[in-house]
Amino acid sequence: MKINFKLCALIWAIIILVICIFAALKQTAVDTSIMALLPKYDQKPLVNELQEQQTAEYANHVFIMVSADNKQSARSAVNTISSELDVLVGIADLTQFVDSSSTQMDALYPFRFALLSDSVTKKLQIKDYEGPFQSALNALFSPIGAGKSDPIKDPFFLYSDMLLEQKINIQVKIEDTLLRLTNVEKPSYLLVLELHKNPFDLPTQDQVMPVLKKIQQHMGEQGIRVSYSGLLLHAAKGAEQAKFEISTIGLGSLLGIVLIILLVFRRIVPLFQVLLPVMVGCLVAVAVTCLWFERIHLITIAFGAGLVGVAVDYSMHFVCESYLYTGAAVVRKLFSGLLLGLISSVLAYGGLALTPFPGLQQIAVFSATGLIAAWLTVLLFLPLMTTKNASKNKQRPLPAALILNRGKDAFPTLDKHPKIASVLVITVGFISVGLFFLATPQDSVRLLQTSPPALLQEDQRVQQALGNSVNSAFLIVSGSSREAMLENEEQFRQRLDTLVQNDRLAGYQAISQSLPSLQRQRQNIALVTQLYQAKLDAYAHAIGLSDSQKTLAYQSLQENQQTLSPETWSALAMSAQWQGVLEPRSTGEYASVIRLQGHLSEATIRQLQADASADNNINYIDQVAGISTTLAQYRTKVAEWLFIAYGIITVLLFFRYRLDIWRVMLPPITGSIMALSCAVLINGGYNIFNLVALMLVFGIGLDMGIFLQESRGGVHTWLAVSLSTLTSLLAFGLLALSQTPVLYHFGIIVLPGLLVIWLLSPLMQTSQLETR
Amino acid sequence: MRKIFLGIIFSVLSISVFANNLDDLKALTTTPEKLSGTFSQSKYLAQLETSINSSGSFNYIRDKKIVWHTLTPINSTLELTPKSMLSYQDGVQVNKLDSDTNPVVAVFSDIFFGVMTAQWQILEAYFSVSAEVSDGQWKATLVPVDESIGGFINKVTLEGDKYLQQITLYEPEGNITHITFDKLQQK
Repeated sequence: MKINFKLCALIWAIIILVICIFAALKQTAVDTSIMALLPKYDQKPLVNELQEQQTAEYANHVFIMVSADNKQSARSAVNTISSELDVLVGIADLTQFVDSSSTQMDALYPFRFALLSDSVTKKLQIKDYEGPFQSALNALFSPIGAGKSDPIKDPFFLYSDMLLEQKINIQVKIEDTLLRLTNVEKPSYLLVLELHKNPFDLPTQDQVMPVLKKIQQHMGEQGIRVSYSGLLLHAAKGAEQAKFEISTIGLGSLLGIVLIILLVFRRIVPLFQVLLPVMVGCLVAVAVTCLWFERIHLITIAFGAGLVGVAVDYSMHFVCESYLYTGAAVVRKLFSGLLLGLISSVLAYGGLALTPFPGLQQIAVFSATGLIAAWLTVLLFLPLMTTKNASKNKQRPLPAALILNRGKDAFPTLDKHPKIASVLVITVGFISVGLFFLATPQDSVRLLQTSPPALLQEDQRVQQALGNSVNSAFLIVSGSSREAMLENEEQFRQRLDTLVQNDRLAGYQAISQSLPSLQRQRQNIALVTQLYQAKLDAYAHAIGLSDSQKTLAYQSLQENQQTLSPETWSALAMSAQWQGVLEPRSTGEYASVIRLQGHLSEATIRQLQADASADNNINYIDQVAGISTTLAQYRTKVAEWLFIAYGIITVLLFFRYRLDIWRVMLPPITGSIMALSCAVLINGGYNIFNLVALMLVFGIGLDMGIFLQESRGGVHTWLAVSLSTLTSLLAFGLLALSQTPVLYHFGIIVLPGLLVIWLLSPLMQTSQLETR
Repeated sequence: MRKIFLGIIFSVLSISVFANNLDDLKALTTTPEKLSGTFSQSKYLAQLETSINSSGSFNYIRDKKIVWHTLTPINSTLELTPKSMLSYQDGVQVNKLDSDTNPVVAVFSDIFFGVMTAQWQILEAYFSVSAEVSDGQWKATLVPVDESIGGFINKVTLEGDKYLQQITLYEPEGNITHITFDKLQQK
């Protein structure tokens, strides 16, 4: 038995080491993006691929707005900043925007009859030749030069008309090679930084943020305001805030824990004995999660840290008992309790893996591996480490245990007072019914908003200057070939155009606006030929073209009938914003994205969703609006799983405790309901993070009940239970003080929940067993 | 916005080479709150080696709206605001362009406002301005400094006394537009 222990301990140590080395070699980033939590089960792979691409595209940009009191200093500041950003080569690129100056646009001139503006196409399609004819005359007599106007090669000014329809999605104009924001009072210019990696990548944050901060600071000293907008800023701030809180709240609770253990055991060694399994548990959990998933989500870490609260139970019991017995004896005494505790907790947390939500799956993996690792460490390492505890203590109960037991015995036990018991049960019943019907779920995005107001304002300022047109909603258009994709897009755009005409949609951007399908281009050429036949005579008459000039015009039409091929188009600068769209996706299909502009009303969103679902080739995606939905889905899933877990555990424990099961189950149920009531009373509702915290309360509460039952009133059991409750309270209850919403909502449940369970537990003991 | 914009340009002007002449110009020209009058326009089309003529009336409300109403040979109206460009044909709107979504329109609108209301400060953002002033008469020559408008305009000359009287616009293709104003009145 003893050799086995040592051998097993050695094997276990090697396993831990190997897992950690592998995990360390794989650099896994921490993710705070809600997008990472979106369920993936109900989407086509193609949609997923594009959604991820869009998210990355949005997330990886930092918009930099440079404002000054006068144009010159703003412009020179822009130049200084661009050169200062040069140090980020290899990490981020300063994106060059499409230059819409006439020279590069002229590349499209040979295709002027194939690429018509939408308005002209629409008129020609209904044989309205008078309209284009009149606007040509208009342009001809307009005091403003019509750009590239040639009454012979392009008498109806189709080319300049097409150019004028080329739109951009932000409120900028090109002013001498720089992007000037038109929607702000002070002279302001825009720079766009594109990160190579995602903004949650810590090395990226560490390298980019100091540069951005430095620029902001020394520009500020010169009276130039530099504002940033981008996920990077929020991600970095989130990381910073988390670091700060972990170091303040975390330090506070750690000090408290150390102090308590020193007081109780009067030695420093037990502290390490208690914390070692917890640390190994966390280490293995992090390592396995890193290996299993691409990124670890912040929520996993927040919850995973809570795992310590459960793991500390195991070690606390072991260490307390080791003051009375030697290693092997402790294992024998505690084994059944520890095993039951582990099985029930792993079942409760591991079951979350069955849900389709990536976030919950991570939590499941993290918790299950962490708990198993801590448990194994307790059973394999602690017997070897705690041998001296009993001898040092001369196998006397610890003084703290005696004091606590005296206090506990002063409590009445419920089975002696059926009246109190029934009052308690009825009260709990009423409150839970009340909670069930009255408590309102809260799924607002604000739950995840950890950024301070100043940062949000800065972000908003930039977004406003950009015209707020960066909409999170977009449409995905697919097709079996490039041409099919473009044709599908053109077909769907008719519906969008109707929305735009009715002022229900501000606008949109689609690739087929600049690269029409070949089908559309050929139609356009045919339409223009009809226009010439219908109106060229009248036109010639109006401005006095000679017959030979008229013939030249016809000739020019005949000679310029080539269509714009995707290959030619790809070589133009204007294709830059549609990179990759013409390449086949991993599914072999082709897919493009239609970007929607401006604010979308509820009715418009419903219309778009209906239109999209009516067409197999179209998908409507809105990730930000999906956040609340996602949070709500998670909340429902976790709530469901809480009920299921309670059910499964009840059945499981029934086999062991039979009718005594209420002694184990009542405290966590009561504690959970009280804690939830507190949260609802304070915050006016409950949310996903409250429920996730309830899982923890359940786990710790259950362990408490199981140990109290299994130990049959052992001298040190109550001490161990109290100590692990107290350490959990210090570690997680204090999170109720956190400024980070996720952590706060966690703490606000754990604090009252554990307190109630701890206070209730003594009431649950059997009077008969205790006397044994 | 425009007022602040002006303020900024003023500070730029102080270091301009043409500061004195521009100051003279500013002293000389007035841009009333409202102005209306008639115009006659002759556009020389280089490809056709011929000119087409038109005439009509115009009015503006400074910083808000310019209405350019061609009466002969066609009836069409161009309505320009700092944010949009509208055309009407026989009273029916045929075209609308937004400067918010169309940077070219934003530039056109800026320039046309600048020229029509003789706002040198706005024009200075796009052109280098040289001016000759003598005897209450002035002539200004504008050459684009911004390459994005160099594709549309080669040169603009403006002539006038108290008000702007003549505009000549030289386009890169060789087209020349000459506009003269008459019956100017502030109302």
